[in-house]
Amino acid sequence: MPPLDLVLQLIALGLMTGAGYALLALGLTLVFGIMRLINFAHGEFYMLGAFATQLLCVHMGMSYLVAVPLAALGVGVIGYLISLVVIAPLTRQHETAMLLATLGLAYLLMEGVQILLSGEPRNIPTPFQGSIFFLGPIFFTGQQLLTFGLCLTTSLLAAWYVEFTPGGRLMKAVAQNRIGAAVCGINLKAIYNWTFAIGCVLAALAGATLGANSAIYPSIGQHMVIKVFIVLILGGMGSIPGAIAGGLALGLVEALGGGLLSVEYRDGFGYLLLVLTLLLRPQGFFGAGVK
Amino acid sequence: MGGIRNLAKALAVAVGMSSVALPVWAQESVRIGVTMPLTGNLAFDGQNAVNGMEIAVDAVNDAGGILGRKVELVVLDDKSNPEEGVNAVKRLIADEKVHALATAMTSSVGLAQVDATAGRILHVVVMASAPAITEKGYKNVFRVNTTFASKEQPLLDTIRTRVKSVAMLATNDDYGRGVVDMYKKAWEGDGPKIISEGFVQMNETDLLPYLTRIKFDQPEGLMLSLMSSQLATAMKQAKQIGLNPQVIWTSGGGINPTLLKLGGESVNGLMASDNYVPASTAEANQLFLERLAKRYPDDPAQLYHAVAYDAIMVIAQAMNAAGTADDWQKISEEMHKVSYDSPRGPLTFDEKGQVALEPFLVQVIDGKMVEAK
Repeated sequence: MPPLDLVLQLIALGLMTGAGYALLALGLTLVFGIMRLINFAHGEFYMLGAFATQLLCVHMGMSYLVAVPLAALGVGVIGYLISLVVIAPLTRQHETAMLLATLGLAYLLMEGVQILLSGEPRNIPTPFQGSIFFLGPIFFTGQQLLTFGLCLTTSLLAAWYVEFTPGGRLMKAVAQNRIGAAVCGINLKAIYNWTFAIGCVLAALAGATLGANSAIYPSIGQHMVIKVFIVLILGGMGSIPGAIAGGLALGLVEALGGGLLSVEYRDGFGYLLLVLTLLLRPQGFFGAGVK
Repeated sequence: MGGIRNLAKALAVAVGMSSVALPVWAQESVRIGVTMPLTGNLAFDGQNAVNGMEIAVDAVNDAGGILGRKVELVVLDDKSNPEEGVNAVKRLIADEKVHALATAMTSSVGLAQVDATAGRILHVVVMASAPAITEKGYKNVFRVNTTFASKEQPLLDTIRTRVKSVAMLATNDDYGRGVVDMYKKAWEGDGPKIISEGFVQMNETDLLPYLTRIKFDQPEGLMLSLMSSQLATAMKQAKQIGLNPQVIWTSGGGINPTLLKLGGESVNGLMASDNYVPASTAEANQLFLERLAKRYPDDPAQLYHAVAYDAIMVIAQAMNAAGTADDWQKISEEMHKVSYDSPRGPLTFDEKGQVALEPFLVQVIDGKMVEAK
C-alpha cells in the first residue's frame, strides 16, 4: 500500500494540473459548441499565450500579473483577426473546410513562432513558481493555486456570459440552430469571430499560467491539444461543466497512475479513461444523448 | 513591366557582385547530406548542430575545399522521428546525389538510418549515442559523438562510491532506456540499489507527480536523464518540494548552455560527465569559438556545435586524403587514419568507426559548467 500522504499529494497535484486542462478545454468546448468547429490550432493559441507573456515579461519588463491579461487580450485580437480572414469566410463551405483551415493554421503559427523567435526553450518568469504552501502534509505551489483560481473564475464567467447576457444568448441561439438564428437576423459571422476570439483568450490564459510551470517552446501546443481533445470527449463535446469535470478527471487519473503505477504509461491512463468513457457513456459525462 | 526590369537589373548586379567575391571552384561542389530535427522539441539543438556544420563548411572552403571543389550542405528535417529520418537519407542519396551523410540527433533516428545506408555511402552519425549504432559492423558508418556507454563511465564509477540508493528518471526513448539499463547492469550485485526507475515522454511538461513519488522513496542519489528543458524544470521543482538527495546527476553531456540559462540557480551542484567544456583554452577550441562567434554571434558554444563541426571536418580530411569524394570504401579507409585536433581534443576513430575521446566528470558551480574535482 502506498502511504496515504503520497496518495493525497498526488490527488492534489492531479486536481491542480486538471484545472489547467479544464481552462484550456473551456475555450475549445465553447468554439465547438457554438461553431461546430474542432479547432486544431487551439494548442497553438495556448503556445502564443505563453510566448506573449514571456516576451512581455522579459523584453518589456512587465510584471507577470500585468503581462498575463495583456497577453491573453493580444492573442484574443490575433484570434479575432484570424477568424475574420480565415475561418468566417468558410462558414458556407462544408464543415471540414473550417476544420482543415485550423489544421493549416496550427502549423503556420507553430512554424511562424519557430522562425521568428527560434525554437530555444525559455522560461516565463513568474513570481508564483518559487512559492509553496502547505495544507497539512500536502503542498501546493503558488503557480498551481493561481491556475486553479483562474480556471474557477473564468469557467464561472464563461457560464454566466453564455446564460445571462444578450451576447451569450445570441451564441446559444447559433449553437442550437444556426440556420434558424440566421433567419432571425443574427449575423453568423460576427458571432463566429467573437466566439473564436473568446476561445483564443481562454487558450492564451491557460498557456500563460500552465505554461509557466515548465520551459516553453514552439511545439508545446501540439502535446496539450491532444490532452484537451481527451478532456472534451470525457466531459462531453461543447459542454462547459463537461470541460471542467473532464479536465479534473484527466488530471487525477494521470497523476495517480503516473505517480503510483507507472510513469511511462501516464498518457496511457488518460487514453484508457477515454476508451472506457467511449464504451460506457459515448456522449461524455455531460454530453447530450446521441441523436 | 518597370518592376520586372528593375528586378532583372538588381539580379544582374547581385550576380556580378557575387562572382567577384567568390573564388572560382573547380567542377561541381561536394554535397554533404544532413538530417537534424529542425521542428519539434529538439529543433533548437538540431539548429545548433547545423550551425556547427555551417562553420565547418566555411572553414573547409576557406582552406581550399575538398579536392579543390566547394563543399555545401543539403539539410533536411528528420523531426527526431525514425521514419522521417530514414526517408530523408533515402532522398538525400537518390534525389540529392550527396557524396556523404552527417546525420542524427537522437539514437532512435540514428539506429534506423544506418540500416538504410549500410554499404551505400559514407555515413557519419553525429549526436546519436546508442552504442549499437557502431556495433552493427557497417564499414561505411562512423560516429563523432562518444557513445553514452563510454561517456557514462566516470559517473558509474564515482556515484557507486558516494551513495547506497538511487532513483532514476529518464526520457522514454532508446537513449533514456539504454542509459538506465547500463546503470542496472554495472551496479548489479555490489553497487547502489536502484529503488525506482521511471521513463517520461519527451514532450511531458508536468513532472511533479514523479518527483513527489521519488521524494517519498527518499533515495540518496537521483539521476535525471532528461532533455534540457525538462531537466531545468525538474531541478527547480525538486528544490521547491524539498527533494534534496546527496547527489543529483544527469547522463553524460546533459549539462549545456540551454540548461544553465533555463535552470539558473536551481541547477547548481548538478553533476554529469562530458568530453567538451566550451571554456577550454585549447587552441583548436579557441579557433572554433572564434568562427562560431563570427558567423553566429547569438549561439553560446555547446557540445552540439562542436560535435557537428567535427563531423564535417573529418569528412573533408578523409576525402582529401582518399583523393575521391565518391568511393566510400576508399574514404572509409582514410577515416580510420584521420588524426585531427578537434575543439574536443585530439580525435581518432577505432576499428569500428567509433570516435575515441576520454570523458571526464563535470559539475555546475555558480551557474557555470566546470570540471569536477
